[in-house]
Amino acid sequence: MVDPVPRSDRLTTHHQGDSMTNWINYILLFLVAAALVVFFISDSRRWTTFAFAGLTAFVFAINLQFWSLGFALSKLVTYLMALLILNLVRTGSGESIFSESRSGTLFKLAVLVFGFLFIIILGQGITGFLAMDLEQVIAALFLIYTGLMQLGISKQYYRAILGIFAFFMGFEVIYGSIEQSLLINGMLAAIILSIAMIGAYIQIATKGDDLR
Amino acid sequence: MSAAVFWIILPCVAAIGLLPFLRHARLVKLVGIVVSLFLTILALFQSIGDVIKLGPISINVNPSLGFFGRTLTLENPDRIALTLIFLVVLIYLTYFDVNRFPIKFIPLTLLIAGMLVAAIAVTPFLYSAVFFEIAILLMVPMVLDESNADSKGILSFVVYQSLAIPFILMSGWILGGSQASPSDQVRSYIAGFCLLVGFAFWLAVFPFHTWVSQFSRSVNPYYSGLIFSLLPIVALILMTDYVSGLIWLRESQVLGPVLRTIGIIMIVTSGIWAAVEKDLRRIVAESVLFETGFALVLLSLLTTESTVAFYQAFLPRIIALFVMSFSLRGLKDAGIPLTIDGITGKIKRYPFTVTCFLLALFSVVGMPLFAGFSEKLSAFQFVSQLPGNILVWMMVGVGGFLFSALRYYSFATKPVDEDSASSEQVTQVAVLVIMTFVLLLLGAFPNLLPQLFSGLFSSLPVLQ
Repeated sequence: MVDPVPRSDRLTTHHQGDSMTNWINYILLFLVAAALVVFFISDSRRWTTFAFAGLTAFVFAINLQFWSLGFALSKLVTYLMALLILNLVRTGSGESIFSESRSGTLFKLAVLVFGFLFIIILGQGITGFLAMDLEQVIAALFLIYTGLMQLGISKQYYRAILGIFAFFMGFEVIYGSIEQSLLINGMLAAIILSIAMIGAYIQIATKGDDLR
Repeated sequence: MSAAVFWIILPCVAAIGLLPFLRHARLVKLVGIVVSLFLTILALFQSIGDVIKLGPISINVNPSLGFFGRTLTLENPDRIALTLIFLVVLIYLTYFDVNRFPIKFIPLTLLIAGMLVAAIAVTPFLYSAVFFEIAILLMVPMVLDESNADSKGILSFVVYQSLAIPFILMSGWILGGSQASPSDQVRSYIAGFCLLVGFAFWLAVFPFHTWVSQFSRSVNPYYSGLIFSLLPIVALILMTDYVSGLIWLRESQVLGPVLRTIGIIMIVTSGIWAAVEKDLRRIVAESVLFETGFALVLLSLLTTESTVAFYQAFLPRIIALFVMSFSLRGLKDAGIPLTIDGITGKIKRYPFTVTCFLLALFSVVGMPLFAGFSEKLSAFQFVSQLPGNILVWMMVGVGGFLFSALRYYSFATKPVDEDSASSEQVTQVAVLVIMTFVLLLLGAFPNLLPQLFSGLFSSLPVLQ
């Protein structure tokens, strides 16, 4: 791991944005992408949960290189707590990892792969605008894209709420790099936890029915 | 004492203080009404910065309050927003039926009002997104109970409203950088775009409007009436504050045409959908989008007269929406399907409910002698001076809504073979008649509103 770069330095120095800060981030980004694939295409609640928990850990490992330990840890704990709250209510869901039709799974996979490729191409430009590092930008955009896709196609409340979380996690990777105000980040954490509680509440009220 | 103590902290403290007393429903309702009435009257008559004198006691109402290094600032131009928010709360708490609905509605409504005022008051403005989101999240437990068989609309509501946060926060951050280097126009335009998208989510602007009709079907009409009254109005007022506060934005050549185009799209699409819609709850939802479209058109003109008309349009909108929501609640309680087919011939058994709904719909359309007429007429007059076919498009939307109202009338008055004895409760009739009378009064005397609220209209945000 490299030493955290002071934010003021990163904002004032020119960013090339054409390479990663550390080679290990290639592996971490691959793991993020793999976790997102499982998160997106799996029909099993258990696998989706594991994939999301893995995502939070991999994103934490990336963030840790650029943020202070406490700040990165606060995001990790927030999302793990949100996941826990959401899982306090157990409702019915598929149990096999790929229970959908093969064509459906392939379609979802293609949607993700094309999106990810587009993001990798787009990432270079955004790093310059936001004065951020490439690995954070790509991880954030992967999350935002998958979160939105998940929101768009989810048939279950649980997965739709996780879609919101993925979207917000991606946004927070970007926003945490440019705005480290304790109050605003604390309030964002409170919002995430509130959404988790509401997600659990909706699952109770609907008795685990699918979205109709 | 700071203004924020009255309009933010007091409702929140009252809401939390009421939680242990939820078993005493009538007491909770009484406290809710007293608090909201007090805050409405205070916003209406008390100038911020002046002293309140109660005999020997004098309280200085300061505009600002420190809050974790930020400030909650309420000034005289905000009084109109405060009046409207607490007036909506007052109306919905006063006519709240404690015997039929969960009592949690009252403390949650007060908390929501406090959060929405905090969204207007907080400086720097990017924090308003967070307070607004908290208000939205508080609305979910308010509307959700075990009778919600279909919660898809509620989830859509949360999703669409939550998606606004990143855009508003990003625009705030980019604007912070832009103020350091005002010559960087690209950053300013990106900030403006993010702001516009954020507000598009909040205001359910086309194409982010689908949740409105879903939501209206998923929850009780009384709840959706409250939410549709509060959210768009607060979002529009926040938008006005942003436009007023950012000189480069209000002087931008593209702002007016962009807002106008969005407004007209909303008027036309909601009018067309209302014309073909069979579900009465969805017609109410379309009326919310229709009114928001008109508000955006008025805002886009960026003149003093149009700004006054923009603010004056809020009260008729609130009352019309209340009448429609209350009527639908009455019909729903009577077990009548809330569709055009469901109300066939129902004017015999529910004459006041059916008629008041129709009159409220006429007010939304802007029929003469109704409260919505003068503001709609002002919008037509302002827009007629602009080049292009804007007026024609607006008339398409109005025509769609008028068709919807007339279709409703024709179905409700169809002769049917059923018992014609009236099944309405006296209190329900009284509420509907009083509120519809207010709609007619405001329409018959269009100068009544500016004269009553002359103190509020004298200090509106500057948009020129």
